[in-house]
Amino acid sequence: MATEEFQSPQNHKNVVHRDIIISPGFRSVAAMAGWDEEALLAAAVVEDTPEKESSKSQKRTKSPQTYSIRQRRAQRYSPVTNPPLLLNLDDDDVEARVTRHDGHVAGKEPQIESLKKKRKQAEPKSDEMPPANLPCMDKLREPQTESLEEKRKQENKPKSDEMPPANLPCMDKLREELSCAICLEICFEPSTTPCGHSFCKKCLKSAADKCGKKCPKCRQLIGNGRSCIVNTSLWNTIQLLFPLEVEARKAVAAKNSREQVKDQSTSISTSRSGRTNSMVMMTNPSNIRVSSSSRNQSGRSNFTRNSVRLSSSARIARARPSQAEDAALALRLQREEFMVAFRAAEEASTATANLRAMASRAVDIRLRRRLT
Amino acid sequence: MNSTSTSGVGGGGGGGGRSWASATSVSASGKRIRKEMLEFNSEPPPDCSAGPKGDNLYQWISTIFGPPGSPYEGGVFFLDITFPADYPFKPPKVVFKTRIYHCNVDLNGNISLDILKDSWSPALTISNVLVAIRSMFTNPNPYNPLVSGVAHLYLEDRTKHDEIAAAWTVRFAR
Repeated sequence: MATEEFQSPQNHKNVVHRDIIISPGFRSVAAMAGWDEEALLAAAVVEDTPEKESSKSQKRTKSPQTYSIRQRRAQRYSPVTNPPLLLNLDDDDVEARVTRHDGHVAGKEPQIESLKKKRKQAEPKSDEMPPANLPCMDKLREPQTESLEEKRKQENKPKSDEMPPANLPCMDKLREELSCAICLEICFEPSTTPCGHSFCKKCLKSAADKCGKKCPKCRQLIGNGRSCIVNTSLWNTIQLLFPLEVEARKAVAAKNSREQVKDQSTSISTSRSGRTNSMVMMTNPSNIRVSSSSRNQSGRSNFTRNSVRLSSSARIARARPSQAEDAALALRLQREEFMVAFRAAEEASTATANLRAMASRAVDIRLRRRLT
Repeated sequence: MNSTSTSGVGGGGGGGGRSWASATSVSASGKRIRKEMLEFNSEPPPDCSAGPKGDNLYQWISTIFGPPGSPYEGGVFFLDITFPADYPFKPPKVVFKTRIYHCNVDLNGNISLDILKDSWSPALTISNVLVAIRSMFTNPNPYNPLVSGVAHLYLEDRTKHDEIAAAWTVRFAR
């Protein structure tokens, strides 16, 4: 019985009022018929509690042992018609959950499969991406003098040439061999020194600029113009072998060039936000002055609230770029309104100022509603 | 170890507090250092260990165990490594933190090693540097010394030099 009390509060209540649920007379009759009291109680409990609640509570609080015992009992004492059904329902639920879980797991595999498929699709695509590549591939294949190409062919034996070569056994060695000693990544636009060492064109250039015109690997002197020439066949081989890496490097390069543009745009945007801030700053003093001229305490509080709303709306606009224009428009309107109100206040016509302030407030509320 | 977020730009305060010229060059050095770290961890050179001190990718700490057969055997020597912002085009600064009786290491731990100065090449890695320092333990260069007294003793009385070096190792490096 102690385990009963670990059930959900609802069940606990049932335990407390079990004398009410099962009257003494009925209990004695049940005992005569050979029904188990506990099974009856369990039936009552399960009947009372909503399905989900019971399944949840059973899952959470009940130890599996007691659960199975009760289940067995409830099944043994079939005269109580409801409980086995309900418990079976629960079982079904659990089973369904398990199957659902299985289904989920099973669903993952197709996902992975589809991912793999996508990759397979993507990689040949990236192979095809550089338009200069396709003729080069043919060119590379024709002479057969390239040792790397031969190696690649040997390694590619089981697969077609279009297959991603990412799972070749010698890939690590190839990667090591074809990586630039300066940036330690796959050579990007490799250029080869007269002594036969290859580096990224950029890396070799900056090495020559900063460390003198010597080969970084063997310290032999590098000729002047030579270091800037890309070793085309090597570059093409690299592009064929490591399409993903090359694409990533290209993307990084593109991003770097874009970043400069972005820097400019961010400076513009910051200046813009600065402008909106200045707008708020401009509107705020006018608020105070108008409200002071109107000598209306509540009006002032309203105004300050308005300004708070204004700034908050500006913040929202900054957070959500789609509403930036809207908010900017609202701010401009506000500013105009307040400027007019301010001028009116200066003319000492407090009544018109009040009117204009109210109108602006109404506009503000409308705008805010539209924004939110 | 460092997370990927502490990129060259994030941890770019390194390079000995040097101001960095452009974002691309710093991220390039950070990338290279991170790559070196991974490579170093996957196959560290014998008796050496190295890694970033904290979040800063440009500040490393390293240990070298005194190679057996040398008077520095049994000692653990700590080194500070500082990568410049334009690494690998400039050599890293490597300084002994543990005192050592060696003709190529001065009282402040500065090392006179050609590859850390004029003979630096961007194709060298920190692993190469540590291997070179370790070989310096067994083969000091008394003809280009930083501490001439030690070099002199090394050339004149090798056994006495080794005795003192071993005594210093026991005293400072254990």
